[in-house]
Amino acid sequence: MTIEHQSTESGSMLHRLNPSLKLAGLIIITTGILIYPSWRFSGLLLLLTILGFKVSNVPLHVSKKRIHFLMAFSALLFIFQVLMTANGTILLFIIPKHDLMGPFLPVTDFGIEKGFQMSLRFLLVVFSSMLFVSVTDPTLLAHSLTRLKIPYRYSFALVIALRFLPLFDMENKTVRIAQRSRGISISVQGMSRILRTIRYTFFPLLVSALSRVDALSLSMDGRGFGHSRTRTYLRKSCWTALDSAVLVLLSTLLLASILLTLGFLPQISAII
Amino acid sequence: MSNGQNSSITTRNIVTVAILASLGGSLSTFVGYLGNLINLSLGVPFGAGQFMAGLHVFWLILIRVIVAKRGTGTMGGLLKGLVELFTGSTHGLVIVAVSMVQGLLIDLGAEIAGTPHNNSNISRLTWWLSAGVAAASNVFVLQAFYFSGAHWILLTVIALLAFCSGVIFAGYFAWETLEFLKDSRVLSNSFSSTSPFPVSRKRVTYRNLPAIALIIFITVGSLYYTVAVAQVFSDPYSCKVTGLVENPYTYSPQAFVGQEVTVQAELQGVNIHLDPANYTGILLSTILEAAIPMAETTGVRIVARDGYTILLDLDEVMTDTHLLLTEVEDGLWLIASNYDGALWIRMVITLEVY
Repeated sequence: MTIEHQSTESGSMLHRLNPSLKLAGLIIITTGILIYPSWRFSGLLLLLTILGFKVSNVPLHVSKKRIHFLMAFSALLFIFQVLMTANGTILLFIIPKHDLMGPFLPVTDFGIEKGFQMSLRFLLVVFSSMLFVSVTDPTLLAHSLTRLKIPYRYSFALVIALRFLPLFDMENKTVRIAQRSRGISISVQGMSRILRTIRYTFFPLLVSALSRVDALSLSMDGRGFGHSRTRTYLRKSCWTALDSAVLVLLSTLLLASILLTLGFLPQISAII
Repeated sequence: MSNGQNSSITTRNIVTVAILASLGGSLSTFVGYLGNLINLSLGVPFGAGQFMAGLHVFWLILIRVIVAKRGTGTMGGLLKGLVELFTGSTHGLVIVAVSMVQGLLIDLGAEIAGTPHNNSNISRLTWWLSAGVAAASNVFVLQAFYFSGAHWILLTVIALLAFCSGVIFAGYFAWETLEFLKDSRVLSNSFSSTSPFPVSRKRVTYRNLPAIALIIFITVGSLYYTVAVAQVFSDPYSCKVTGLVENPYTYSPQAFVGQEVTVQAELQGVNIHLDPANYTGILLSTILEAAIPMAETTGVRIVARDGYTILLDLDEVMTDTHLLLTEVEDGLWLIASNYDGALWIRMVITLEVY
């Protein structure tokens, strides 16, 4: 397991933004499309997100398999909404009238609109999250969270969790290879086999992981972790004028989605 | 490892939470793989994978039991969600919300269950149930984001599947794991250490029998209620009459017996045409009159279960003798013979006067 799409070397504008601001941006975008669930609004934000990938030189198709899954799942969401929505102007029937049977499964304009709304929302949430991960250094994120008065002992937990990922990934592979060499294969045929598969994978990893707790916590305590209310950092996040400008933009976006929902911006809501 | 609920969190606690969250996040790919295998073996594209939902909650239960302090479930959930986000979860930020809600529910369950070191059946049952509820919560959080409009029976069945998974994997299996960790001396001075000797697997199974029986009863009972009973008793033939009215109420055709009218109407849509047919129901004007619209009102907003909404002029509605709500198999239909076919609405749930 690796931290996906990590591209902290690039010096693009998105990379340089404060990590907390980027997290806030991600939350605001997700909240915005939940508050104002228009497919045009979601589509617009999705276009901006894709533009963000371009601007920050992050390849969009990191994993072909994942992109295929995302596209298939968004298509599934679209079909699901179209089939579940009976109201609106009927455009066609999936099963047309034949003699005395049918017609069945109407496709309506409202259903298609809802389909776009949900599938674009899904793609926006996933792609904006991918972009966030690609342009954010987790260590700097932890630091920026401490600047928001979150105690560093808690924000450091994120750093620990992410730092141990490659190790657990390696151990997971080792355990799986060891099982295979002993003739134990993954099986889901019946509950007892599922439990056995999980037991054989989880137990060795758990013992290995928990046996590190003492060494690491004693080492941290020995270095005075948590002794002082503040700590020093090798790398720090900073807040610039650009961050302030982006914060204003994001706040405007959130405010706009609230006003659009409440119907205070009828001219704009007619467009998006 | 402290057993106190209120003492401050130590470095060891933080490291334990972080490491378990990391391991849980790292193994989520493996869990997803198992879910896909189950889908394949059952020949369905998705859904059966919910049977693995409990394995995501398993880690949060371990965190909350091993670090028996308030809020560690939520903290673990947040961390696990962030780990999954950073490792490229296909749900993006939503996975953080899902995981955090699960952690929060486990914390709530822990408050009810009391200390995990208490070996009583009731306490264990509460832990297992909260694990089931936490596992089921993912269905509703994901529904809020992506599946609005899904039929509640479908959601309930999927949620019950996830609930069972939570009870099995985050309840029964988590307890078995904790016993294993205790026996292997990894949990040195902690979890349920009232018994100094290793407990046999058979004994663990016998001890858990009452809890397992009750959970099976609740699960089967809920499924039966959802599929067979609730559908019968829930009333799809009612809708709320709200807004600027003096007497807001819930409309039900039974309250208007004797006031039905029959109209002949034909649906003329852009692409569809239904031949003239007779529809019997209650006039919209009669329904709204019973609510007594206020003087300054000008329109009525009609909302369907799938979110479809139309606006009609109140004066026109009150004088229209061909605009009625009729009962059809899936709920109330608005028959609007004087209007375009797009205004014939299925599954009306709200009439709001404005």
